[in-house]
Amino acid sequence: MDTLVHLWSGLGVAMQPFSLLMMTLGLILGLAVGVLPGLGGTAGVALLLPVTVFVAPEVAIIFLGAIYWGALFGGVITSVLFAIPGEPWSVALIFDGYPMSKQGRSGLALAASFLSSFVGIIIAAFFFVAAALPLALLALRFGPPEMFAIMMLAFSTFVGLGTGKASKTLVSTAFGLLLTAVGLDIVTGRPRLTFGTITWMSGFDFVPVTIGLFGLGEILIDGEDRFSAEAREVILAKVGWADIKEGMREIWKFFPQTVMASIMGFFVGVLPGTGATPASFLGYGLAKQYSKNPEKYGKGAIEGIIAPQSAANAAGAGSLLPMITLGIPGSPTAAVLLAGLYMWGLWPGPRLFLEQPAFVWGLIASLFLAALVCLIICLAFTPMLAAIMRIPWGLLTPIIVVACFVGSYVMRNLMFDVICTLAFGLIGYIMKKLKYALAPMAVALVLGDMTEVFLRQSLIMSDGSFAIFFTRPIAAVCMSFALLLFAFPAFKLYREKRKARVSIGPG
Amino acid sequence: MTRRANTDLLSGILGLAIAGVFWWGRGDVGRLSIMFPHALLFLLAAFSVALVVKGLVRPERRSIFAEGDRAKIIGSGAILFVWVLAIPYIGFFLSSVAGFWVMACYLASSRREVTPLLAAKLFCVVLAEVTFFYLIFAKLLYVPLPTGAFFQ
Repeated sequence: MDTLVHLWSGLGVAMQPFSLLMMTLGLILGLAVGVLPGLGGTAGVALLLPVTVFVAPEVAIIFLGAIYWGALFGGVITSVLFAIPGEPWSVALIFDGYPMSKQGRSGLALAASFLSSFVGIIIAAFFFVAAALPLALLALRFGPPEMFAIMMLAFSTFVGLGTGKASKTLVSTAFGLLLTAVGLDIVTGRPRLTFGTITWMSGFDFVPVTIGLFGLGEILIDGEDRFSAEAREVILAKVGWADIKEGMREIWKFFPQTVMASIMGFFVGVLPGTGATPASFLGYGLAKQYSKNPEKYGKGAIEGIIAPQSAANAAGAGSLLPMITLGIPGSPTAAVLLAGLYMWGLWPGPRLFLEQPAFVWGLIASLFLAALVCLIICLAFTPMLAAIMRIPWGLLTPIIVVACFVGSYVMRNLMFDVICTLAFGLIGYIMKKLKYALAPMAVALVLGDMTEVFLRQSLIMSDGSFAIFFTRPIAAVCMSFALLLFAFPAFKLYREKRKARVSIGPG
Repeated sequence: MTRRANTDLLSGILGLAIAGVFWWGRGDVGRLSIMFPHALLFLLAAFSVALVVKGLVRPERRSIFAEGDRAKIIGSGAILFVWVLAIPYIGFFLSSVAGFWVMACYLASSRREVTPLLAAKLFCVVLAEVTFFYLIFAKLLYVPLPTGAFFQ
């Protein structure tokens, strides 16, 4: 009952005219970001994060959240119409979405994608509402050892559940943590890793680094593709009322699969380091595995669109749950949102629910509202959104680069931050070329300071003994899982080698 | 043309270089302050060594520059670099208009010939873009963007 009262008050916050205006603006920007290949939702949120210092935190989080939902919806359009994934999580849509477009059913494919996105977010939002308060109350029992163990669990999920190489993920994480150690020691106030310079004493701010890695770095990567891109078959479409009705009929026909994909997506999203991309592939895989007609997949099966899209959007909503209740981001975009929380002077966890109910419940209520508004925008303005793809890249690049510059400069008004953005743009480009995952680094950048603080507090509590992480029940469980996940790639390698040896046979 | 490289070896070398640079700049601080960075430096070096060993023992050559025009990327990067360097001297507005006009012409030249008319059109668009950003941030949000020598 309490939850419903809170949710009602949250709706009051989200439905205020200024909140609605910012939400709509965020959704439009997010849709544009989602449509543009190369500029992801994470970059979009990071680029506009500095702008939010000018508005109240509850409006700021609704605005940034809307950019994320917009990007989740927007990636669909280019995947279905041009077979160009606007976002990594919309790759799975190409398999059946593009064949549908080539068959002249693009309107239906888009309508089904948007409607399944909406269903995915709404189902995830209900789970979010049910789980948020209990999880936040559980976090009340957490002390520094438990928090440190949870941080380790967050880092280990990238290693154990990530798709990249474990060693590269570990290097990426260690590099991100190392960057947070640059500057003044948070406990003693002494400078470290500063190379004797005063400029480095302030440390690396999260925003310029993220804008460099995800904004400028992506622009450079994308630029390389654009120089070599060949003309693609462009299919233009608009979504008509008949498409919407048929899309709704199809979703109703595959409703159990949609619900299952959304629930699975939500829980995948809750796991730190996973996010919408693996959820969309899992959703597609599950739908195909349990389909009565798996041979139709890849040739324009509508259920091949519904399942991954609902799973991806549910995962997007799920990734915000650990962020708001425990301070652990479930995805790189959630990591940027978490950085925003710190920037606005808010501390995630149970106290946030008590001290800032308008903020927390405003965000939760905005999940429902944003899904609805985004659905309406997408259904009404698809041709206009698809037209963004036709803006010459040479004119779009200056807009994005200027946004990168202003975004990094506005936080502290330092040219050092602009140089940081440029340097990390280059680092991000090189890391992507060398197949490093950038998401672990982004999460490490947000959690680095706290990881160190919790580690030092724990060691002070135990007189320097690491046993404290294994003698307290919650910490021990989290730490054991973390160690298992860290060891998982080695175990997988051993199993693969053994299988290969068995298949070759003796001699 | 696709260019392939031993990404594990290169990644390991990059990791070791980063660890080396930060080891050199760790400064003279107390044991408690440096404990966390030290642990991270050791871990970074250890994982990087593992990548180097993997790259040497079982080299895998992967494509890192897929068909792209690297000269154009380097050119764009150089324009960005000069632009950032110019900001403190001639200000955000002038450096951005000049920098992005050059960049827009440079990027357009990969697709077609840049005629004076096209260059003039690109200038107008870039001017409008930069002015839009300048007005929003400097005049509406009161962000003190660098003014340089011309607007003081």
